[in-house]
Amino acid sequence: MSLLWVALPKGRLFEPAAALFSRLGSRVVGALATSRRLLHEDPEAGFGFVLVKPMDVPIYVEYGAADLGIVGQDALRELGRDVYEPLRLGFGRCRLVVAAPASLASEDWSRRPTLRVATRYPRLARQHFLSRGLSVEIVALAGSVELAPRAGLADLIVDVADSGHTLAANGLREIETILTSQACLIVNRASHKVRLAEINTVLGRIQELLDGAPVPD
Amino acid sequence: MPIPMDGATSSLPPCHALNESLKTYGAGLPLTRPPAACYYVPNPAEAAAPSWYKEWTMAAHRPFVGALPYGVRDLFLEEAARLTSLEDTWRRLFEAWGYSRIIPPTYEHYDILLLGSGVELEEQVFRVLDREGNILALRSDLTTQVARIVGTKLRDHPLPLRFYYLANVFRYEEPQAGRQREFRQAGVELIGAPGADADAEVLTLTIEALRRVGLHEFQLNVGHLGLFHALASEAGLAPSEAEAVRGCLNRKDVPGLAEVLGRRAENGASRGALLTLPELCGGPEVLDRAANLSSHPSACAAIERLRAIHQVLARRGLAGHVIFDLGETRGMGYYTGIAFEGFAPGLGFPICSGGRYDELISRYGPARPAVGVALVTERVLLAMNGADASLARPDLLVAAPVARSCWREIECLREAGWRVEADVLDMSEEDLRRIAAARGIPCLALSAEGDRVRLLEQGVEHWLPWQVLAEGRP
Repeated sequence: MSLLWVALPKGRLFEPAAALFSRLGSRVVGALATSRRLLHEDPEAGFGFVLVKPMDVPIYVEYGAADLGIVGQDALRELGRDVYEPLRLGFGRCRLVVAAPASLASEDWSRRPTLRVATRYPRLARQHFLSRGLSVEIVALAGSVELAPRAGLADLIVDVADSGHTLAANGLREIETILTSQACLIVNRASHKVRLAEINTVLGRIQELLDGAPVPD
Repeated sequence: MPIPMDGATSSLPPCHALNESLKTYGAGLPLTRPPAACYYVPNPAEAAAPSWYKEWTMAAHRPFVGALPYGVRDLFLEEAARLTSLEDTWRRLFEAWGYSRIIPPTYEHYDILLLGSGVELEEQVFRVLDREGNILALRSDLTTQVARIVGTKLRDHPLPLRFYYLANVFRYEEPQAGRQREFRQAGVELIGAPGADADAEVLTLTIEALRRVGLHEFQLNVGHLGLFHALASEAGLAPSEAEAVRGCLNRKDVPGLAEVLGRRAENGASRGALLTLPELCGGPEVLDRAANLSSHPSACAAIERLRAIHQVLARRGLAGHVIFDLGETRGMGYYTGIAFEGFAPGLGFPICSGGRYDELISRYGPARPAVGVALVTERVLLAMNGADASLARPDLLVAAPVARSCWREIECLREAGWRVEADVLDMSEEDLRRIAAARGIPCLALSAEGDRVRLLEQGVEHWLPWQVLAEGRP
């Protein structure tokens, strides 16, 4: 039986995702974080793992380079890739929010002729403002988005917030929530069809684990 | 602005600034020949310049003369041979089943195509303006064109009609898994038959088409849109809610499905039925489970239809390739009955898709039931994994003098099925031997006298009458 390949995200989702697979019987997955290797086979547990950037997980899975993947719904919706998402995993909860400097937040900013929005989520941000009929200029950044208003790069930001401390520390206030997100398990369409029994077994075992004791955040 | 090199417009002022920028632009680029339709920037200084300079500046207009736009590609030699042989196999198969070829144009009026293809392909359509300002569209799908032809030009033709096509289609999307923005589709449409036999014929033909090219490990996931629509109407879902439910089903997003349906608690039974759909994937036993979900007449009809199809395929020994997948509500917007996709191991994307579209043709003319399939040719080639990549080589290479004097005899050979290539470079005997060895051509015709020809075969020279040669197999 060939391995089921899993794309795991680097960063804040890695720990709980690895914990999930070690509870499924993989002994190597814990070592992934400290190893420099990005590709691990674990024939004992029947998995192979690739370690990639969170935004790349849906791409690996859509193309079938990995059969399964773990990714936040924020990244999944932003990329809009064609994959199955049968399970929500309950960890990595966060919200995608619009935030503005306190001065702008109190004013009726929606009447401004144009707003510049800095974000790592250009697609979702554009959709959100379009649906409200606002014309905005989107500045796509790779990180440190909360810095943009202070540096004069943008009027607003769209970014993830879990507690809101980072926003507050940068003088930003949440205006509205675009979506709430948590980690979910995604599956390549063709793998789901061709290896249905195997994948259903894995999905069932994960569901059992989640029902028994949720993976700690 | 560069102007055509026809002399008539050379009174324009020389364009030094442009030439300056060209020098910068073209710096460091390889010297390449200009494209056939070249443009010339008149500049008196250039008249004295060496010819390579002129070529260089002209080539600099298009610095990479071999470049293609994103999303298209050239096919030649082995790859073109593989594609041709695949399509030949399918052509023979489709014709053996009584299908005849249909060749619609590459582009049509955008609004007329859109009438059939619906909005979901709209974003992917390549649009062009003609000189009168009409919006034209490159076809993104053959079924819509066939529907237009059947609904208008063939509205009085006796039914059923069976058409096949081997054609290129265009979609403005990211190239993925062997499919560029221009890609090839092979498909059949069976028009005028509403029953399970027609559905089974198209499924059988799909299975046969994949088997004929050496694929054996593939599966067709077959669903039926009637079941979903019945459950959605039983649950009293508004169109926007039904769309949201369909989105969740297509992502197999069960938690999301529960959320959307949770807002409508009053229809407990059909809500539960919709939530069960993603699990209904497997052999004929899932049809029994599905039968308990609803007593809505169109739900029952859908299950009955799938059972009937299964019976036909089982009798033909083909049921092993079919998985019933009732949670799948994808496919073209015009599908009304069965809808299916084909998957092969190791390929992350479907290799074919098809379904029944009983309401599409009525958008162009009288209502006609119809069912069809489209195979994604390049993806099937990928799934075949490089099999049968050999280029047809000639059976005989003929030296130039022989080709000149004996063209009648050579024609006879070609008619008898020989692949004969004539030397057009007046190569020496030694060169001919070298070339034949390098290209694996088994037989060389070196000289001729009377009705005989001097051949070189497997390192042995001998004289043979043309007549004898034509009678033997190459």
